[in-house]
Amino acid sequence: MMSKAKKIAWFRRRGMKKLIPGGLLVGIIVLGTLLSLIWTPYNPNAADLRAIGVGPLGTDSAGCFHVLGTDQLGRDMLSRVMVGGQLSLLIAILAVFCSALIGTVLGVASAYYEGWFDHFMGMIVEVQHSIPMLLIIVLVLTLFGSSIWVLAGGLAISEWFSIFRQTRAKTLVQKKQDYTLAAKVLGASNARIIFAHLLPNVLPTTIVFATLLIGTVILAEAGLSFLGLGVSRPYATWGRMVADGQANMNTAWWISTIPAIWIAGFVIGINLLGDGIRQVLRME
Amino acid sequence: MIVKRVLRGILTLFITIVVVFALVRAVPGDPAQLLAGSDATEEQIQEMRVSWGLDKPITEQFWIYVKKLATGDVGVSYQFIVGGKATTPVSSLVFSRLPRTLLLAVCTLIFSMLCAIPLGVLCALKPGSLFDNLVTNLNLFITSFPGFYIAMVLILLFALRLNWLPTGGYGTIREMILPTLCLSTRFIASLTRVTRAEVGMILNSDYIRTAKSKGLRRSAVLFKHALRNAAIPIVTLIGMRFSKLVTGSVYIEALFRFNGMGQLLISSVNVRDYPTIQALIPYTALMFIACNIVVDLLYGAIDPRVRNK
Repeated sequence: MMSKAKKIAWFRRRGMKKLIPGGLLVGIIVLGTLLSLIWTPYNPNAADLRAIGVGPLGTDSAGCFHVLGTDQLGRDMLSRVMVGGQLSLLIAILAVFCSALIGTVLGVASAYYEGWFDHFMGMIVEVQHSIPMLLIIVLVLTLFGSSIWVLAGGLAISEWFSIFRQTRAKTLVQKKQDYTLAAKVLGASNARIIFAHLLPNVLPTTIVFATLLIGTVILAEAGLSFLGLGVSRPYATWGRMVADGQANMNTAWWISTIPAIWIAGFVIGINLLGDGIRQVLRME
Repeated sequence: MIVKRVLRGILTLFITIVVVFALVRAVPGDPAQLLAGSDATEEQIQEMRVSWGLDKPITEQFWIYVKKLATGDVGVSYQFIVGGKATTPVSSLVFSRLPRTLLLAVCTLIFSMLCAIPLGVLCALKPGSLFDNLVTNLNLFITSFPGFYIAMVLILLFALRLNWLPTGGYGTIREMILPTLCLSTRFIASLTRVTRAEVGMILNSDYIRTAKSKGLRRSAVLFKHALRNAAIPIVTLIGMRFSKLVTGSVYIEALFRFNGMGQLLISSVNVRDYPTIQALIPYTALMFIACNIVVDLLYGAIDPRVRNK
């Protein structure tokens, strides 16, 4: 049993002020999405003529209560945002995982070996800066068709270099530290220095930036949905739901607004979590 | 240094051109078939291919393309067909669309700087104050929504409900206000954040304390010492963001039926309009690279240490 003082101390730790609300926001949204795998209040894809355009906290003509209202086809909004998270989160997690993997491997290698490889990577990053990312994603989507995997891959290709840059910078600093030099003097192999000494010190940075990247990717996916480039209907993603409500913005504001708030809540939560982790790990 | 920078830029541009050429060719779908329509005969399609040089080997197509690009003659767009023939030159297409997008980007840039830099400085002067917290939190809040949703809300508010501004179009000043405002929101947010962080850090440094204790006026300390030193990261961000504005405006152009470069890009990809894509990307890449070079030169103008190195 923790003593009362210890409990208070735990809550007052550095970064907890951000970790707790961030964790709560992300936790609720993720739990809602997980719950939707087995249960939703209503069928998220069934159009219902008796319940078209019911406002939040409204009751439809059949007497069913809709906490967040219904959309232009009478589908329950709460059920839809819960289900929409399945694809949005899956795409975001896949994309961020790929970006983090590519970015860390290349970033550490680029900083550790320097030389021509580092120059080459610098060149690639510069080229990527000079091609509009949207075009790359659009081309990749037309090339391989619009599926979840392709979308995640396209987003990963367009976002990996933010992780790359952070890892590279961090590795460059760690490489010059005494402990690395000591390991080298003791005759440690390159692999040992990288995996046993550098990576444990570089990974926290990667994890923080990867966490923050989840928010960016969710927003990017929403933007692509708006341009009609996201996953195809009838699958719901949060971004697609916001985009689909555009025509009804004047008469039924909640159809776009509720998924938009969902996205914003998730992104705010992720940002708080990322900042919180950074403070707990004292990476300021 | 400038020569080295420009050479690097040219190399980047060349790689970009190769990548785009390869990517465009890798996308399945035959433009001749797509545009000739489903009822076209095999001969008609073949004729279209020959007239566009699509029957030649890829390497030859590439050199023809590079030569043409260098002379500014970038070919004829496939997508605007008048009387069965594609006659609209890509260059005229680009030069009719480019000013619109550029105007929007420049308006956004100016408006954002006018808003964000004073806001950032005010926040940095009183860190932790109510005003600072308000601006910082509002920033985080707004950037957490998808950009196009914020634009939808602004349209609903200013165009549909209050009826102050038109919902779309291009030409008059009134039609520019809302797109500029929408495109600015994210830019203002990030610029305010960077300005606040940089100015805040500098205001805590020793030389500012020295300048203050010399008895300099507060305005002199702020403008001559603090802002000038904060300028480098701010200019970097502006340079990076300006090039992003050009592509970021795709959403805004779509919402406001603006008919600029972004929409041209999307429609070109949809019908595999090779000449237009192959011209648009080098043009935008050239703009990006030029932006970066200008930013590098600005560093020299702002910071004598960079100039003398």
